[in-house]
Amino acid sequence: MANSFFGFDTTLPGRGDPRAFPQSRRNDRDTFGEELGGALEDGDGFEGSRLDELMEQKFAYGGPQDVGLEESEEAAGVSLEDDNADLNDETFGASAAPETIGTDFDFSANNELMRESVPSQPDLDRLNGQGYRDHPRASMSYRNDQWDEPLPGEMSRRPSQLSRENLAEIWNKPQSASSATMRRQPPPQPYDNPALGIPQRPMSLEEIEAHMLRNARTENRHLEEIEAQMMRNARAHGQMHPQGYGPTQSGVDRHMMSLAEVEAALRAQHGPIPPQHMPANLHNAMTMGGMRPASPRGPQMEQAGQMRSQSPRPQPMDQVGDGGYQYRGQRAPVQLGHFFPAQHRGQFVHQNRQGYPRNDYQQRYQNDRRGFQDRRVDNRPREERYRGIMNQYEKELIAKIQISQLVTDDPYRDDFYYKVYTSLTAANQQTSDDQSKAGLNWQQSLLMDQTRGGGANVTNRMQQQMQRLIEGRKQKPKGTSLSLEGALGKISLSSVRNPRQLLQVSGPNSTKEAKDLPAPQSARLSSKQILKRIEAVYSDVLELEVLKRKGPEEDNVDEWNSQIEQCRQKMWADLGVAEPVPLNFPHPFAAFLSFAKGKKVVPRVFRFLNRDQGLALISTLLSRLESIDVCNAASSEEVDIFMSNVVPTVVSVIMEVPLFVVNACVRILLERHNMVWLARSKPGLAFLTMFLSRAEMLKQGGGVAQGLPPASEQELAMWTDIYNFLFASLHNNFASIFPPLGPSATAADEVYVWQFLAAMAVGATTVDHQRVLLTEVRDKVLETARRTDDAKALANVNLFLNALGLGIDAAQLANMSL
Amino acid sequence: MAEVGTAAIPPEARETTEPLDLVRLSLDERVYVKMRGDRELSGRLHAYDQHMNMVLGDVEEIITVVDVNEQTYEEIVQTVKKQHEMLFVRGDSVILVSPPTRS
Repeated sequence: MANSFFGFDTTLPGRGDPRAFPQSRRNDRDTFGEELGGALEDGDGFEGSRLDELMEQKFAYGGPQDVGLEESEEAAGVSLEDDNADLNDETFGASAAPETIGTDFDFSANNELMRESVPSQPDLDRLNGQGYRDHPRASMSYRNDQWDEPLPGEMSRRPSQLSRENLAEIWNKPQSASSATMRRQPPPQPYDNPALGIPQRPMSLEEIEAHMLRNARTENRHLEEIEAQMMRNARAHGQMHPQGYGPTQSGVDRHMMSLAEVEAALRAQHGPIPPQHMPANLHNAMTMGGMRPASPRGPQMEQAGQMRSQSPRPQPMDQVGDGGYQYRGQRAPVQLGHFFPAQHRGQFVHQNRQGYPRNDYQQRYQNDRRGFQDRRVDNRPREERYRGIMNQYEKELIAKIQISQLVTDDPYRDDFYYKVYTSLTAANQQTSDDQSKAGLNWQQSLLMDQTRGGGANVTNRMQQQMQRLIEGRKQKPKGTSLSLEGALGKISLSSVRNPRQLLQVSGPNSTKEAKDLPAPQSARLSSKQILKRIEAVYSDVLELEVLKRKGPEEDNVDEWNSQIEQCRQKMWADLGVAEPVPLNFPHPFAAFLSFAKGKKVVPRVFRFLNRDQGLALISTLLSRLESIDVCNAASSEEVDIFMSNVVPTVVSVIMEVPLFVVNACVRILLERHNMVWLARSKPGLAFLTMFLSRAEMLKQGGGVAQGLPPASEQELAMWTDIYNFLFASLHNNFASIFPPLGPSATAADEVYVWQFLAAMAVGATTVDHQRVLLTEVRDKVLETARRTDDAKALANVNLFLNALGLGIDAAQLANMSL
Repeated sequence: MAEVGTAAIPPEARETTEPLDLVRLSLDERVYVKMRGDRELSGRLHAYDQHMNMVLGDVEEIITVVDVNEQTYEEIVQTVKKQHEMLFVRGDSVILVSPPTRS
C-alpha cells in the first residue's frame, strides 16, 4: 500500500478492473446503485451521451462506497480511475503517517468565522469555481467533521483535503492577491485575533458543534455580526467596502450570502456604497477564491429569492433596490446562505452542475437535506434533469439573440459560398422533380432563389421580418421639416432625399421674383433685355408651329388643344402687349420692332393671334410709331424688312375689319402723331394708304362680301371727318412726302407715294380736295409724266390721275402741259 | 449701354441664362467670331448649336499672316480678307463670338 500524506492507500483500481465492476453491480440494488449501474450498463465504450455521466462519476468525490452505505470495504474507490496519485509521496511527504497527524487543525479559528457558510472542499474542487452552495452550514459542518475525524479509510479517499486546507489558508489572507502565493503562505493570523469578536483558538469538534448550535439559533444575529466583522475588517485593511464580497477576508464564505441580503444589511448600516469598487473587488475575490465570476445569474438570484422566501429569515427585501449597483449583471456566483436549522448541519448539499430544477421544490428540498453522504448520481434522463432551469421568456430571449445573429439581410451576399455550395450539392444529390435544380448551374439557381418567396422556417421568417423592418425604416419619412411649437418657422431636417444645401447661391430668378414691379416704369429696356424677349417670343412661336405641324395625337385632341392654348397665352404674354403701358414709357413691343428679328417674327406671331389680340397689337403699334426706328429715318434695309414683314400683316388684318375699326385706328394715328412727320416715313404712308383704301372699300359696300354690315351713317360721317382732318393736316405738304431723290432713286421708290396720293384722291370727299391735291403735286406729276422712258413712272402717274378721275392719262397730260 | 432698369424687368425676360443663351440673343445679328488659325469672321449669324457650329451669312473673313524675313528676322504682319455669302463654321475652331466691335 502506497503511503499517502494521510496514510491510506491511494492506488485506485482501474476502470476495467473486473474487481470493480462486479462489486458495483452488486451494489446496483442499493439506493443509488441503479444509477451507477445504469450508467455502467450503457456499454463499454465511452459514448458521447454517457460522457457527462461518467465525468460526474469520475469527479465525484468518491463513489457509493463513500456514502457509508457500502458494506464492504473492498468497494472503496471502486469507480475511481487514475487520479494521478503517483506523486503523492513526493508531494506530501511519504513519512506522514496517519497517527502523526494531529487533529488540532483550526490554526486560524476559521471554524468560528466560517461557521455560517463554508463550501465543502470537494464540491469546490469538483465544480471548479462554480461555487454554488446551498447549504454552507452543512458543508462547514462536514468540514468540521472532516477535520476532526479523519477516518483512515475515508482519508484515503479524500486527496483534495489538502487543497481545502490551502483554501483555508487562502481565506485567511485578506491581502494576498495571487492564488499561487496563497498556497504557500501560512495563515497570517495567529490565535485569538482580538479584532474578531470570537474565540479563535483551535477548538475541538465538540466545541465547534456546540458553537454552531448556538449559532444556528441566532442566525440573524450572526449574519449581522459577520457583516459587522467584515466591515471592520475591511476598514481595518483599508480596502474595499465590505459588501459580503470582501474577497480576501476570512469571510470569503460570506460570498455565500445573497447579494440582496448583504446589500440590505449594509444599507441598514452604511450609506450607499460606491459601486465602482465592487466589480474589481468582486473579480479579485472570485479569482482568488478560485471561483469564476459568471454571467448574469438570473436563475440563481431567483433561486435565492425563492429560498429566501422560505427561510425563516425576515429580510427587508424592499431595501434591495437597484440603488445603482452596477455589477448586478456581473454578480459573483454567490449563493444564498441557506440557513437551515441545526438538524441539517450534518448534511451536505449536492449541487447539480446546472443548478437546481426550480420548479421541483420537493426534490430540491430533499437534495438540500442530503449531505455528502447521501450524494446521488443523477442518472435521470437529461431533459428531466435540466428541465425548468430557464423560463419561457429566457429561452425566447436566447433564441432571439441567436437567430438575430444568424439572420442576414441578403444571404446571397453574406453567405454566398454556402448558398452556392448547397445549391451545387443539392443539384448533385437530388433527382426528384419537384425540387430539382439539376441542370441549372449555380447562377441560375441563385437567380431563382432570389425571386422565390420566403420559406416557412423560422430563419426565413425572421429574415422577412427584418426585411420589412428595414424597408419600413427606409420609407418612413420622419418628415422633412420640424416645427416647434411657439417657434417661428420650420427647421428643415436634412436626409438623403432632401439634403441640406451647404452653399446658398442665388440664381438670377430666385430672390427677385417677389418684387414684380410694373414693367417699364423705371426706365427703358436695354437691348439685351429686348433681345431676350424677342427670343422668348421666338421660342413660343416655334413651339406653336411645331405643335400645329405635328397635329393632335390620336385621341388626345383636347390635350393638343390645351397645349396650343397654353403656348398662345405664353406668347401673348411675352409679347408684352397685354399690359397697358403709359404713353410716356417705352413700350416693349415697340422695342421689338426696332430689331430685324422682331420685325420678322410679327407675321408668324399673327398667325396665332385671334382677332382681338391682333387688333390690340396693331393699335399698340400705331400708337407707338414714333418709337419705331423705321419711322425715324432708319436704314433702308430695316425699312424694307418692316415693309415686307409687318405691313402686309397689318394690311391683311385691316382688310377684314369694319369701318369703325378703321376710324378708330386712324384716329389713333391722328391723335398720336404728327401727320406731316408720319407722312414722311414710308411705313407711315403705307399705313395711311391702307386705311384710306379700306375706308373707300367699305364706303362702297365692299364689306358686305365679308359678312360685315354696311357702314352706318355714323361711321361714314366719322370717316369723312377723319379724312378732312387728315387732309387738312397734310395740306401744303403733299409735295414733301416724296422721298428725297438720290442719284439712284428709281420710280419704284416712289410707288408708295403715288399710291398714297391715289388713295387720297379716291377718298376725296369734296372737289376741293382733289383740286388741292393736284395743285400741290402738280410739278411732280408733270415731271414724272415727262419721263416717258420710264414706264413705271408713267404708271405711277397714271395711277394718280385715274384716281383723280380726271380721265386723262400721263401722256395726255404731258402733251397738255407742253 | 446703361442697364438701368434691371430690377424692373418682367419675369419673362429674366429667365435663367446659360452662356449659349447669349449667343442666341445674337441670332440674326451681325457678330464677330474669332477662330483658331488667326482668323476672324464678321457676319450675320443665322444659326448655331451647342458645339458652336455656326451658319454665317454675308461674311468677311480676315486671316492674319506673319511672315518672317529670313535675313533680317523681321516680322511682317499681313492680313488676308475674304468674303463669303454663306458660310458654315465648324465649332471646334471657334474661340469666341461677340457682337461686332462698335467702331
